[in-house]
Amino acid sequence: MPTSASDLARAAALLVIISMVMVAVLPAVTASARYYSVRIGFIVSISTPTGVRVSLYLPMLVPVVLLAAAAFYELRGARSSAAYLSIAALSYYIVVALELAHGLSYLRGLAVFYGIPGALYSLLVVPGARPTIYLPPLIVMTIASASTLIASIWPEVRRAPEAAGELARRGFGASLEELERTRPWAARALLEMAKYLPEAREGETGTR
Amino acid sequence: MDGELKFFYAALVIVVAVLGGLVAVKFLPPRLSGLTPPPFYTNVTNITGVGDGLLLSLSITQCHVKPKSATVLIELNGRVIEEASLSEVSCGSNNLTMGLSPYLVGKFATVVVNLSLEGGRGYVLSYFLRYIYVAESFKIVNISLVNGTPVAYVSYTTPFRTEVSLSNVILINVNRSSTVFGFSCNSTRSAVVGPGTGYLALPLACSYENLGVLSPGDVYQVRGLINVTYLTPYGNYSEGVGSLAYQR
Repeated sequence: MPTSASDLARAAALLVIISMVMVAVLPAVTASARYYSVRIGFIVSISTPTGVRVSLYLPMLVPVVLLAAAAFYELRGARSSAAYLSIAALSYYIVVALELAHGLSYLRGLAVFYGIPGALYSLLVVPGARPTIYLPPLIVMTIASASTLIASIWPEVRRAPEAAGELARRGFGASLEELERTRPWAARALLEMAKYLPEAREGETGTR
Repeated sequence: MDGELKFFYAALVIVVAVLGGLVAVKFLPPRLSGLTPPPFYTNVTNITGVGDGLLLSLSITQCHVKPKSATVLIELNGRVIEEASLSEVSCGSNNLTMGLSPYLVGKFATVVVNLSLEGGRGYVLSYFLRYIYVAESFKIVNISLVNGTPVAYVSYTTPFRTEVSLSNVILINVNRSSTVFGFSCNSTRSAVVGPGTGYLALPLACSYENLGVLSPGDVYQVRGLINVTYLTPYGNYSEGVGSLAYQR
């Protein structure tokens, strides 16, 4: 079992690294209409008939850093820390993406502000440019967070049925599967009890 | 932290991350302005009352994308007072004539210029704060006796058909510091004048008259309130204009 748990941790770390790269490179929110497109992520690009410009949006570096730290912890075996960090990155990313999409939907289209001398302010409005959250990085990030979460609770999940089987053999002289058929209430109680046995928690200390 | 994953800590992490995200976007929003040059530069170079209309000069320069049509709104305290459109505008100087509401005269108003781009490429909204200058003036220039009745002569320049009456007029002999006419000294009637410039004579009825202090060569001060009511298609708009002048 420890081998499969570490395999899972490595797979989770790989997914976290992939999602980190996707968050760094791909936009979180896009809005486009004829001749215009705005893509906002860590890299911001805006394309209008008058040109294309690219800049960086530093707040989007936060999930990249969190994911990098999560991958580092995951590879070092600190799986719960990795899970916390990946969950934080995902939560932050979703909130920022939603807020950006909300902000871009000003005037029911794409709005780009310009400072024009003599005017209070000026803005270019492109009707029909509906902002949407770009899903690929979000999906990969969600899977990566879920995998770090599973990796952090994996030993407990695997060892609890084993400990419950041992209790069933000692207490009832039958396997857990047999007990589930004949006395399901007893099997359920043993499974619940096994979660709190020291044997079921041994794997966690090994990962520290 | 590296032991069993605690749901309480996980929930705490989510709350902190969500709040962090909200704060980040609030205080560091993505800067889209200034990234690309605007399709063109717009400016309201002149906005002046001409007669009972408002002439607006719109300058459009550095056209990367050609403007197609324009709609101009004039707003006062967030309410649209005037609106006008040009079906075709060109890169350069464009003139637009719109109605002149009496509410706009001598006020700072927000001029909203909406220029649509050629080929359905959206539109550019520009907001300007401009003073609406309209030539208008009212002044009591002289009071003289006509057949024993005091008559006030009022010079005026008005963009609208206007009803004029006088109240609280007072004529003081400055040399003697004595009042000649005063105290509830009002015009006996009002007069309606057309738009433009002219003189108007209004007879006065005064509760106090002291003709004994009238003396040739002395300087007299004329004060009074001119009650002006603009009679416009938008409705009637009244205001009081104070007047102070000296006569010999």
